[in-house]
Amino acid sequence: MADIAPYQISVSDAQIEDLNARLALAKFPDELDQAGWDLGSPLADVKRLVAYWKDSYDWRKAEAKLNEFPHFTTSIQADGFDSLTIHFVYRKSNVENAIPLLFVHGWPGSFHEGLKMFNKLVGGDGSKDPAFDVVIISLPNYGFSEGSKKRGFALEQYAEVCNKLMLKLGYREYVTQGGDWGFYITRAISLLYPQHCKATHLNFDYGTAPTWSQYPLLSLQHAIQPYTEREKQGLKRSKWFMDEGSGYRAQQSTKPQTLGYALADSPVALLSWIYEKLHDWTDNYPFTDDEICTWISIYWFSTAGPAATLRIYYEATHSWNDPKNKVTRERVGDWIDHVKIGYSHQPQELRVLPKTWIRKLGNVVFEHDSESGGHFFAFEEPDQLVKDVRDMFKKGGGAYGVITGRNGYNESAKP
Amino acid sequence: MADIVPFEIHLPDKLLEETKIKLKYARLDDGMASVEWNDLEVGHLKFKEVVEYWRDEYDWREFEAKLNKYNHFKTSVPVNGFDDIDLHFLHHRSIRPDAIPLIFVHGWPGSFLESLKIIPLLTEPSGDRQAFHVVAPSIPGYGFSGYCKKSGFGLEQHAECFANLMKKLGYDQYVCQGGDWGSSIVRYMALNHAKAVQAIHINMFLALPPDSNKSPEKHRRYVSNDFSEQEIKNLERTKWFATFERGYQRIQETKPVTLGYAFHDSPVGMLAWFAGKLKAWTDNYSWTPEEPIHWAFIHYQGSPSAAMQIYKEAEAVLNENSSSMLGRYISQPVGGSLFPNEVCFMSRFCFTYWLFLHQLWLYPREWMEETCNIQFWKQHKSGGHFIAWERPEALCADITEFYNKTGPVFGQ
Repeated sequence: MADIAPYQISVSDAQIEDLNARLALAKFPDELDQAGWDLGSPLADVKRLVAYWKDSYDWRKAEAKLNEFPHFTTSIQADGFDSLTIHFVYRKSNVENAIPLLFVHGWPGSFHEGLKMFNKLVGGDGSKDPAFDVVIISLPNYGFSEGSKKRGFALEQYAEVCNKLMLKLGYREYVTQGGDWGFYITRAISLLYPQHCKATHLNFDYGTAPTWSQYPLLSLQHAIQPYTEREKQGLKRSKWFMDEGSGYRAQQSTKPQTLGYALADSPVALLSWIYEKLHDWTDNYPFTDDEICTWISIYWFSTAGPAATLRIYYEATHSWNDPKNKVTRERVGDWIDHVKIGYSHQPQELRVLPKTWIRKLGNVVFEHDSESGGHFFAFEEPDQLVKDVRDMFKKGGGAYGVITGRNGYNESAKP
Repeated sequence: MADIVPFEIHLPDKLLEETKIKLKYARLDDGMASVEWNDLEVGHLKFKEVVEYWRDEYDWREFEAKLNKYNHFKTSVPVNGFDDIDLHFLHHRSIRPDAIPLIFVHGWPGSFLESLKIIPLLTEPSGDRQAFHVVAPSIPGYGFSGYCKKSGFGLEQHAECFANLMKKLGYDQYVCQGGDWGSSIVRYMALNHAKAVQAIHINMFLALPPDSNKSPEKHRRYVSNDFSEQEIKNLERTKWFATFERGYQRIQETKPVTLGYAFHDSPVGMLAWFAGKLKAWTDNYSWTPEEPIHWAFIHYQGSPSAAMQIYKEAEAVLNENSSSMLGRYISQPVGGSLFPNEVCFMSRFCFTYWLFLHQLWLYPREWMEETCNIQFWKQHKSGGHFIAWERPEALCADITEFYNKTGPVFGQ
């Protein structure tokens, strides 16, 4: 554990001045009449946010609040790649048998998304609620982790870094929580390290209809049962995402750098690019201007820069269709053995799929349909997600006792 | 003709100074500087060089002076249901008595710049080749043209705008040439303004696969992949485009506003968006350091957001509806010039066909013949998408051949 060092986020004054100078030079388009949100981030919002970011937002104050959490860095190397400095937030519970849990974010997320849940998960009392040792990683290319300078850093490598971090912290077995790329990465971890990763909680629907040849029971169920009202609405949402909401990933999967130059040079570009997702992908979450500015500032001030955050789209999509690879898109959507799955479903997630599709991912031992919430569920409704995770692992829960010797409870406090 | 006003390009000093400052403080991502990400096509090091050239050496005023040697005008053009458009255009008349009026329509990320090399070739051709009076407008939202802030200004409105321009200039009958969006706009001009438009020549092609009821033989050949060698090569090019090159199109046709902020605020961002396409969509054309900057700056100085609007609006008319140009028939003569490094634009609708049938499709002549009275069809061995810029002589040779007095349009 020699090279695990405490870390404090400390953006330089020069970086802050540079940001403000760019915001002061901001140039804006005009707008179609009655544009609304259909074509993207509205002009009035972006102008207001740019002005707030420049004149009122206090990064140092936000930084201090972020630093109230326990940050660390350490070096991790994925095979065939250079060693990277990995940033993470980590605390052990007071409960000795706490369950080790790794929270994995996605894009345009960051470690920041997990912070609202952090204290509660760690602070489970071990008698009524299970407790967790929580690790929130900044994935390579995000937050205050370094990025890979070599091509080919794909899902296998992100999974490898995550797994090595948990092993380095002394956890031979652990569980994960993830959505967005965190979904794909934790599925890759399940595939590659079933001896270490014992359960995954997911908040991102994924899958295709079960086929008769592979999943006869689910396929039959799918054929017979009519879609519920929720499932019907969900399919509409999924269609919206495919038809109207997928331009960003068509670009990022094919030409990340072409876009990246704009996001690296213009904080206005970065703000607009991410802000649209904060709006479209959440369930009317009432973001404050401070929350938005902190979210975007983490991207702007990130160690590897905003352009680096796009590369996962390119690398993953260029490798996951190669049948020679272990981690393929198809494989990730098919049954993975040995790893228990818990699912939280939100109505404003990007894909809202019928239950029969989800259940082919593996042994789904926990499911909860939330009445509200969207893609950034840990940020929008942290209490609900904490409850879901606790319900998955508590006594009587579907994944209780999945970690050898660490059931999340004070054994001495057993009734 | 009183309100057709000669126009001199003069960008404000303030804009030039601001741009220089932004370039000076450009934050160039260099996270993988030692790696040549082929997605940018031109490569990091090369791109950095172009940015530095723009910052340190590029002289807009010098280029502006060259541009002002051409005849620029501005006039107000009405379009039904919308405010009048403040339209910028070039107008060059030939001294030849039998010159034919021709309107040249550019696309994206092009501009009126694409007309500059062909204007002299068309107005003062060598020998006894056919001559033309050339009108080259800036599409509303591009160059120095104004644009409409009301939604719904689509391909048919662009066509109407240009038809009204030609009428205003006193051309009752004329021909057209168009590539990229220009090819669709001139098709609508031929369809909706049939009395005035005698013929059109295009170098990009949009078509639907042949309908099994309307053209069963063609449909059979389509589903059985029965294509010539050249057609297969063209299909490969389209497949490349569809798989690797369409990201920009998907974002521009769904969320152009989100994207647009980047281009208004960052000249580097604007240049990066173009640079790869200028290289990938041409056929070994040696771009000088200035040329991509000219192209990017013409957009940057105007409204990059307004320019992208055409993508979103096009969806309303490029579809399976019988009123779409993809379902109607242009009975005037249509000439096509195919250059191998063309990209094939596909509307999302057409792309759905491609995906659904897991097949390639492009523009075999017989597909185009469903909607166009093809009277000229030339497959070239070299050249790409911006053909008027890359190989102006090749394009003009085809234009003059198609439109000459013994050709399919005006011949007996």
